Amino acid sequence: MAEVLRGNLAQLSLLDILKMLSAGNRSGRLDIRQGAKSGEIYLQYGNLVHAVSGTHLGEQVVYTLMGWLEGDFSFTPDVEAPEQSISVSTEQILLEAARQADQWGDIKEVLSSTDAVFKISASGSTNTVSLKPIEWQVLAQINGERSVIEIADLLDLHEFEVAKIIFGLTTAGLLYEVTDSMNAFREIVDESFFEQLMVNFTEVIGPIGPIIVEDEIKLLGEDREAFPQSKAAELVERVSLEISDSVKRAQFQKQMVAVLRG
Amino acid sequence: MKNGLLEINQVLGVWGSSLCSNQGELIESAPPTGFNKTTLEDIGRKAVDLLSSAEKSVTGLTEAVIYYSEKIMFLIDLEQAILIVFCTPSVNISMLRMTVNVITTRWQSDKKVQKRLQAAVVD
Repeated sequence: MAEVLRGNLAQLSLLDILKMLSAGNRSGRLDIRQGAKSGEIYLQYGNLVHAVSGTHLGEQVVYTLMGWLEGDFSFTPDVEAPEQSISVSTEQILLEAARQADQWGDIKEVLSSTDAVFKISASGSTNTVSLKPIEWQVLAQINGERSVIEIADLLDLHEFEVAKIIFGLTTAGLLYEVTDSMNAFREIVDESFFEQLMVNFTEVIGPIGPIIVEDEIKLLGEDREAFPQSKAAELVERVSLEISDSVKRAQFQKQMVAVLRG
Repeated sequence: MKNGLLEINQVLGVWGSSLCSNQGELIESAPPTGFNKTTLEDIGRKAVDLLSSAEKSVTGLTEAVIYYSEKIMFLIDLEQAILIVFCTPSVNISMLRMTVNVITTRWQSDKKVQKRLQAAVVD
């Protein structure tokens, strides 16, 4: 089964690919991959008959995949759809997809990607804001850690729908995107950090040091193997409070602040 | 003293810092761009009011973190003075608190700093 079409979405948009395959009355499976995510769209004589991505099925999947501006695609001809999940006409889907593609253009000006993470703005909106139930549900999931995709999965909604709501809430001044420098704190700390923490802390407090560190890690609800960078300073601070001598505590903090700064 | 403030300013997310007396008068500053002495003293007086009124209800209160619009103001009561640190929401408060502790502990054994702080105290 030879692949007749393969490329990158950055060069050719999904909408253009589907228009081309539809106009050519092609049958087969279009595979789309973006990192760990993937989706499949099946065509039969140029008509879209089935689309699947993860646990999602149907035309909404097509709209979600339209939001992937980067990634690889490949079309394998003459593969039959395992089922039919699309009931509306291909023309309707392509028209709606074109409309959503325009909206994605606006959304992308506010959302850097669907992996973007948002926080609730402390200042809020200057105007009265009324929210629909679905908007409230999305807002309730914003915690500065969950991405747009993760929120969509949690609420069992499509990425486009969630992205559109977040776009609206952001332009209303209720949310702001967490920048890359903030996201950097989500990284996992290196084992060498713990080695230095144990050595420095044991030097000040004695052999009970490692036990206190392990206890504090547990109290923070974390594991040493996957300890987030965002909590490293908090761990050091909590551990340092066990040092009763204020000068020794400041000395330990100075050493560890230098370690944290790298 | 100025070097200490500049060290605090090196913490990621810190925008500037200043030190004022228990009456809000400016002792030293490494402020954010656009903040003049009058503005800093105005903020200093408000910080003094806020900390002293909060201390009436919370015994042993030595610091306060105020979230204002998209900025954060971190106030630390040093007994003779108040340290004000202007931050963005990206600041890591634990990192900032430890850095401040390292510097203020150093100030405690620095005679020149102590002399300046004592001179600024208004009874």
